[in-house]
Amino acid sequence: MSSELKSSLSYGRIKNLARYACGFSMLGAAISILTIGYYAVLMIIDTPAIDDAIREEFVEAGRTITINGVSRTLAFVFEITPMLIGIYIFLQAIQLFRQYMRGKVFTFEAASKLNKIGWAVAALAPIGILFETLAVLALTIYNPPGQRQLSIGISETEVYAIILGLLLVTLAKILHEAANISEENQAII
Amino acid sequence: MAIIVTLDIMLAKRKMRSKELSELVGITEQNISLLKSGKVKGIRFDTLEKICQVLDCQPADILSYEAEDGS
Repeated sequence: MSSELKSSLSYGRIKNLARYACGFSMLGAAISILTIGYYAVLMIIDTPAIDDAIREEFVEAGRTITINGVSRTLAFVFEITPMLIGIYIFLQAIQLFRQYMRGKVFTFEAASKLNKIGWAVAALAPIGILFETLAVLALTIYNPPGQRQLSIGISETEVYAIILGLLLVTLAKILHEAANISEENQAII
Repeated sequence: MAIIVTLDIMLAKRKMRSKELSELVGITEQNISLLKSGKVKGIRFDTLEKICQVLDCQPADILSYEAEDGS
C-alpha cells in the first residue's frame, strides 16, 4: 500500500494527467494501426494509389525511382517498421499510464515500462534513418546504373529523439531506485 | 536478527490483545503481527512512542539486543 501514493492531492493530479495521457496514447496507437492497415489494404487492392504515395514521399529533384512489385513491397516494409516501433511505444505508454491511474507510481514494473519506452524512443531515430535509407535504395536499385542512390539524412528531430530516449532511460533508473526505497519503506512500520 | 522484539510479552503483561493495541496506536493489526514476529526492517519513533504510551512502558520493554554468534 505504501508503494501507492498516499498524498491524495498529488495522487489526484497524477491520476488526471495519466488519464489524459492514456487517452492520447490510445488515440496514437489507433491512428498508427489504422494507417498501417489502410496502406496494407491499398497494397493489395489499389497499387496505383500506393505508387502515387511513394512518389509523393520519395521523388525529389535529381532522384528518379523505379516502382515494381519488389521495390513497392520493400518500400512499404521499410516505411512501416518505424511505425511499428511507434505502436510498441504507445502500447507500453498505455500500460504505464494505467498503472499510474491505479496509484502505482513507485513500482519496479513502472520503472521497467519507462525503461522500455526510453530505449524504443532512442532506437526510433537510428532505425528511422536506416530504414529511410533502405527504402530509397529499394526504390532506386532497379534504376539504370548511375541512378541508384543511397541517401542518408539526419535532422535535429532525430537528435531530440535520441536525447529524449536516453533521458527516459535515466529517469527509469531513478524510478527503479525510488521503487527500492519505497519497498524498503514498506518494511518500516 | 540481533534486535529481539518482545512486544508479545508486554502485551501479555498488560493483558491486551493485538487488535486493541492496533486500534489504540493507529496501525493495522497486520503490522502489529509483523512487528511481533520481527519481520520488519524498522520501526518509526512515532510508532514506538505510541506503543510505549499505550502500554505504559519503555522502548527497552519491547525491544532488546542479543549478540549474534561471532559478533
